[in-house]
Amino acid sequence: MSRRNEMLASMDVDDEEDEMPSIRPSTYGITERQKPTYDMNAISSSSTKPMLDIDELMEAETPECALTQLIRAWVAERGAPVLLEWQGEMVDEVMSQVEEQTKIVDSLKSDDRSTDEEHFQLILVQTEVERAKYVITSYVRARLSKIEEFAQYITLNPASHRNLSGIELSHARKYWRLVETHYQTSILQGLPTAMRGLDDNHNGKSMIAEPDQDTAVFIRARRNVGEVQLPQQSIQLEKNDNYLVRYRDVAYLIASGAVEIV
Amino acid sequence: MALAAHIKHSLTPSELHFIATSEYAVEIVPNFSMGQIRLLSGIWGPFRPPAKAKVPLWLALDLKRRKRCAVVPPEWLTVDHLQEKLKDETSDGQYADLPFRYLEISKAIIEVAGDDLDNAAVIRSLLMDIRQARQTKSREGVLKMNDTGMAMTGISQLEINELRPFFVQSFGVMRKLGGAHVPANAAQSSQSQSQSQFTLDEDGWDMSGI
Amino acid sequence: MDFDSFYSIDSILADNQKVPSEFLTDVPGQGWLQGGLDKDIKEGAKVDLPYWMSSTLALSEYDFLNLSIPAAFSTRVSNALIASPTFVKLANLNHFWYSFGLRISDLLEDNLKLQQSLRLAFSRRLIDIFDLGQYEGNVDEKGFETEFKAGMDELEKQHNQ
Repeated sequence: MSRRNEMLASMDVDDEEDEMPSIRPSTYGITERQKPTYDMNAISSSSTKPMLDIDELMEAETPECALTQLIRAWVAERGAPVLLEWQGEMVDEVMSQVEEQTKIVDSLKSDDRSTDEEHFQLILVQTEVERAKYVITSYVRARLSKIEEFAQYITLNPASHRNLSGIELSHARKYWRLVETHYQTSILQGLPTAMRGLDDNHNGKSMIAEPDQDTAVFIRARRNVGEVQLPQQSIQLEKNDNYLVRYRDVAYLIASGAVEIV
Repeated sequence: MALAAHIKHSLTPSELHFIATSEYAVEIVPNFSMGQIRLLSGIWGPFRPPAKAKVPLWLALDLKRRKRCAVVPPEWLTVDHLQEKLKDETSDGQYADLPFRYLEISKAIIEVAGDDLDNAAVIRSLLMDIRQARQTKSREGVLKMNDTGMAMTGISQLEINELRPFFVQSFGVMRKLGGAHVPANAAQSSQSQSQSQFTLDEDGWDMSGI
Repeated sequence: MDFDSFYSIDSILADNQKVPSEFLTDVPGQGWLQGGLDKDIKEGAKVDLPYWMSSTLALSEYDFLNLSIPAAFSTRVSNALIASPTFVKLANLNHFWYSFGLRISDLLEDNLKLQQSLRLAFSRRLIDIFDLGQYEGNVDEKGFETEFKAGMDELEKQHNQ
């Protein structure tokens, strides 16, 4: 079988073709961590409802692709006041898929034996690849914006590091060093020593910008969660329910994937 | 700064359009024949007219723009169904049951594939009426605003996005003004002494703490 | 986002709002604070001092000052707010009415009434602030909208940006 056929087969999985030499896994993007989890510990311990229902079982059969998950991670990052956990595996998965698709597109494009139908498929593949790139950069940008806003806080608080990727942490440190040096050389050097601090407290207000966990977020339940305790009430959170709540009160549900930020 | 301040805590309409067209799948009737195609979002097709095929909305709109298919309107995007929903919307205090991204989806379909809808003009005006009826309910949310948690059952994504800046800010202000407010100067040991230094003002402010 | 953070200009401006203060001791050389030509401040002198200064002096271990509650937070105002929250022109009382109010409440032992007043004003005016943003220019019953808008405090104004 020619190289050209091999590549086409990997893209065109028509049932009519019995033999399908595969250069890729048969479906994209179902990595270990993305399988639906039913981690009881991650869900409110006071939950009274059984965690499995028909809807969930149905959904479990068609797991989401990595791209869909990354879109959700991007939206969550935009809505969350804090920096959420870096979804490295998800990004890597989408990146490698994009790379593979791009490789196939490039070689089929330069092959003048490609048919019209193949050319048409390539256009569609390319369109989606561009969309995937947009999601990746949007996700990274959403994080970068918070990383720079809270660069000082991140630099000073090792506990915040676990949610950052290696290069994000290094960016945060370098960024804060730049800002600090700029403040020192342009303004603070000219002030008395006691007034040069950038991490002081004034009237109970810290100079260090810190993510506010009490910021309100709009959430949507992705499955039946059951009872959730809020400051002055307890609520029954069922699938597709929307709430406006403090981020702090539902952070554990966001982390477990039971609810999403919308 | 990586993101402009005004979009930092909200999504833009074009971002919402992107998300809806990625997430939502719709049926099409292709006018071309093609085997299955494997994309990042899944395996789609085969495309064998006159059989219907289910594809992501962005793909459906892309094919429609190339005049390669007709979009099959979702069952909720019909005059009958929307009339029903409008009735629910005006007779009940709850938001009527519509897809979470109904506005983004319907706007995209009407714009690109309006000719595939039965009576697109009526559908458009029904959607506007529904939207207006729902705005009254969003207003109820303002009246119930608090700083601990608020149910917004049935609200759609675009509506959330429109309310987000106002609601998130109000929520934050309420929290600061709330009864649980911890005085910023509480840490200062001399505070108890200072409190007795307030005098009764001429308007007779209740100073029972003295 | 946070209206009361270190780098918030509104927070700095709120710190500058004046608190009626009475000096309990002579302060030589600081007469300029009274705005006149006197060289010294005499015991018993009544001066409006910015919050950041008056609170620092009042909270110090010496009895420098007696503070009075600013008129913007008087019982008269709180009664008016209870009666008709949207007709009170907060901006005429103080442009940073809420932020300044919180600061005053920090200095009071019995601050419940003031806090209730702040919260009540905000929650009952909120719907009008919302409507202003949603329907601005559409309806203006007897000029209510214009009047209300003119009386909005800085924090309320930010809601519609």
